[in-house]
Amino acid sequence: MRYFLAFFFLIFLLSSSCKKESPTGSIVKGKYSIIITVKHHDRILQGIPVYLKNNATEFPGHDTTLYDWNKTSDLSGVAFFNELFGGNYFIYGKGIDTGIGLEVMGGAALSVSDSTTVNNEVYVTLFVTE
Amino acid sequence: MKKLFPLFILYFFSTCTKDKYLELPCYPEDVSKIMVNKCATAGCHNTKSAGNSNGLDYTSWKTMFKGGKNGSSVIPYSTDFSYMLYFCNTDTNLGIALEPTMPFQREPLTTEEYLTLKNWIAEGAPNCEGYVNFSDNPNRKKFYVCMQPCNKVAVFDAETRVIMRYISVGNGHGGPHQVRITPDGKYWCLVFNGGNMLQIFRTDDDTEVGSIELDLGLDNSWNTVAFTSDSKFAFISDLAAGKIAMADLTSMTSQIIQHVPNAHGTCVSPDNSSLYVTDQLGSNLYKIHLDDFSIDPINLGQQLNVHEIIFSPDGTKYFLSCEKTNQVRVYNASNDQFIPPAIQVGPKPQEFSISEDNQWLFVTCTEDSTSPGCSSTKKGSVYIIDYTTNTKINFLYPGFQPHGIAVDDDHNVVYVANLNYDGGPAPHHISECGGRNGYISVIDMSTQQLLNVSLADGSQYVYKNEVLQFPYFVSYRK
Repeated sequence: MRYFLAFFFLIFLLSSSCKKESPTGSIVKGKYSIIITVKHHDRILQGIPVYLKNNATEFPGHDTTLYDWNKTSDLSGVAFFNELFGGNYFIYGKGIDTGIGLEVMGGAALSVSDSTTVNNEVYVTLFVTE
Repeated sequence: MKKLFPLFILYFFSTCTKDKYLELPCYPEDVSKIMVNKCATAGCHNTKSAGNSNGLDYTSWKTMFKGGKNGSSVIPYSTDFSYMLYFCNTDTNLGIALEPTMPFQREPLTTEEYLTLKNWIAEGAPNCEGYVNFSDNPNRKKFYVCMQPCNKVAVFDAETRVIMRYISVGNGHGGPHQVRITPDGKYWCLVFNGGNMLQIFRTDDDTEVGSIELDLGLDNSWNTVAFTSDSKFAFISDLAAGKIAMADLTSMTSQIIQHVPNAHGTCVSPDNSSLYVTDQLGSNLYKIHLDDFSIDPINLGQQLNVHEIIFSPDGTKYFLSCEKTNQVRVYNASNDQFIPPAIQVGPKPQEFSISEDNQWLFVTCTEDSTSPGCSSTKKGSVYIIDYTTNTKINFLYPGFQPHGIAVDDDHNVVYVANLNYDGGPAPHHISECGGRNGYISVIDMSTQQLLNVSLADGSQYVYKNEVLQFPYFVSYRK
């Protein structure tokens, strides 16, 4: 019986540690951050939803449900993802450029590791276009 | 062995297709090292990720020439207008350098690498076997767009709708205001606003035939050109001085045959008996008899400011775009009488084009901000009229400030030249010509909406091909 309970306890521990993290990106618990500035040509864009997909080296697609987390660019055009683990990520922005009233989009693949970050941070300009 | 003989024959012929060169995917070796290793990389300009990279897939020479959401980034022989170069250059002494610098978030190309690409484009951007794209078919269907301030004409391949070539035009006097194809399809001709000639090019290889001096070489505001149906004579109107010139396309000579106030639109009647000329600031239409060059004014009853004129395909009636009254008016060609009612369209209707297959007349209203769906940020409309019943059947916003328009019945589409010079969407890039780039949009006649294009990943976008500034006129060569 003791071994039986220990087995279930082990299974419980394993399954709980495999839990998918929050899509808000707040409890991923890695040490890296990606700071993204959204631009259309030379104009900084606020209010653009920015999506992040983990473990991706290619464009996942325009379907935003395919992405793991999302944030919206703030008044400075910045979207900030923190507590990320090292690895390959794909960032994708898609929203309305209110200056021209048109949908804009764009994305980029990036690698996050000690060699690609400074103080565990990577700064990216995400260029979007119609 | 005898049984294998037909298979051998079949194989032999299957390797002789005319598109052999187009199927070759390879870049020249030195270019391939850059394009494949630094551009068509994972997450960037490869087939999987092109949908995210402005639609540009640099995996192969062939996919590169399919272009992206703003047209082809490489135009053979045109280093000044191949926008790929703008984004991989970091030295403004070598040319335009725009952000984002490519390769994105990696080491920029070295000067040597950049010059490898630039020199390759200057030589026509050939593939690994030396084939220059679009050089294989003189009967290719094309459309031509003239950019007035740049003295350039963009030649588009009608099949792929990418720019094949940019052709330098003019002699330094004025800018190309109108490009028209001769009725036999062999030549494209340019008139220059502020210029002094009619310039003629071959449609098979787009090389210059020559030019015909107009009015003893005096600079005038030559605006439009019309041809006799045998393609032997051209008639050119001068808006400011009101001169009408006739050019003999065989002897390459010209003479002034008449004067019409504010002469703008020109059209030769299908029976070649008359030249009609519109008075863009008045209430008359003028009919010049081509046997003796005598002239008859046709009183339109009120000031209409007629911009253009076009005949119905059967020659029984003609249409006038009336800037003053925002109308298209229809006239009986046999007696020049108005056929009411006038067709109300958007403000200041401009250019016409006709689809014989659909029996539709298209007219652009360049500054329309009042038709439903139009506004100061969506300025311009195209109205569609059933020319058999003289009734308006639809209209749409085709892009910012549409002006030139050309029907392509072979592909069931309509090309629209959007000037985009004053408050429209920001261009994707600038060019060596300067100013705000305009763009070409396409109306799909099967839906009467703008044409959607699919990328390899299945995503769709509305076709839009950026060109140089002020694309004023477009003509289709069948």
